[in-house]
Amino acid sequence: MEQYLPCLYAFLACAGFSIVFEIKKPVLILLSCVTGAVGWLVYLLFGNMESEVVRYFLATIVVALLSEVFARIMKAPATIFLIIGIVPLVPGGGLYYAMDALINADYVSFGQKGIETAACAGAIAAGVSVVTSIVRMVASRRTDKIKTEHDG
Amino acid sequence: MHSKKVEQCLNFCCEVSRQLIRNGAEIYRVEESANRMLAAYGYKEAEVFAVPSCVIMSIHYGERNYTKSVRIKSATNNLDKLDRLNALCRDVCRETPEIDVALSELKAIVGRPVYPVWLSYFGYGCVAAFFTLFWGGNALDAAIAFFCGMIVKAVVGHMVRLNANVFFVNVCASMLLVMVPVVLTYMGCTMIHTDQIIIGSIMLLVPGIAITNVMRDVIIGDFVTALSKLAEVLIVALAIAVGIAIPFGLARALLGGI
Repeated sequence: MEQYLPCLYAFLACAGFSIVFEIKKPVLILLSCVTGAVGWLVYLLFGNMESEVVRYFLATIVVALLSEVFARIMKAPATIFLIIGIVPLVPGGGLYYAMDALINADYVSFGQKGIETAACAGAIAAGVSVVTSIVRMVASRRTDKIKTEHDG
Repeated sequence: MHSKKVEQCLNFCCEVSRQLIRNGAEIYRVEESANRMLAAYGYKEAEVFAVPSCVIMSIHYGERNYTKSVRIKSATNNLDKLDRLNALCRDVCRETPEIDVALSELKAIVGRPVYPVWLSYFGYGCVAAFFTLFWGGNALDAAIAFFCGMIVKAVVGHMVRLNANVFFVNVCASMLLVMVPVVLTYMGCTMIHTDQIIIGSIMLLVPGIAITNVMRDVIIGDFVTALSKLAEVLIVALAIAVGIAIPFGLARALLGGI
């Protein structure tokens, strides 16, 4: 059970971010925190995977999908859930360790950490992009359909 | 007489776009919303061009062309206003109210209160504290990080008011927050986990959202927006790096290694 404790911390940290980013409706705060916690849960569940990048990618896909679902249910922009939900996945640790290595003139681990951080950021971005692209494609087809029905 | 109506509509749509960007909307969403609103009011021949710092809108109506541009100097994330602006856009598209009515609604949204300052400080503190726990710190580290988070809020809040640039704000904020655990360590509190405290607090500054947005803009095909946001991301990352480096470097130079 203890290894899932970070999910709770992620949930609470997301609650803090909801205040920082001025979300007012309690329902939206709750759902965006849930998005963040679920994202980290997915990351932990794929713990036996070798590649960090793949884990980040899969976790992001779930976060993005969840945001789109919540956005449809709550009739709010998906950005709200996405911005908060993605935060626990942001590789802040990697950035710090890379900088730390740089300051210590340890260029080998600077390169390693730096590339790892960049790759994780790329994985997160790719995950968001994949989901957004698909959702937009489906949504625009649906509005086209409605439009043609009206015109016809 | 009709030209006045067009101009009113143009002004309204420009103002909505400005507020959308200022409160953290994605750029393609801004263009989309503005286009839809203009179409809802019956201006089918309209072009909207938006980048993070500027929106240009043109309407061709009757014999004439109407154009307006607005400049956006700074953007923050206010998801409450963003949510309401979004709802306003939807309502406008569906019901096409009189511009005056829509404008007063817009003004009500812009004037909405933000969280009181103490709650904002508390929020920053919570983020830093819980991310410290999240990255493996203990309760004491979290308490120190809570304080670091409040420092970040104080620095960001005050320096933005002084119109400091993004780079300098981030250098100062990260420098001061790193100072706290470094000084504590030198004062003899060696049981604290400096790394975890710094990582937890730095989450408040890391441009994670911006970088995902950059990639998204690239994939959608909006390269102008992506490039200008990328520049910002790199500047912020560099600023944080400099901010971390200064206290460590000073400590090492003055007092010898940790």
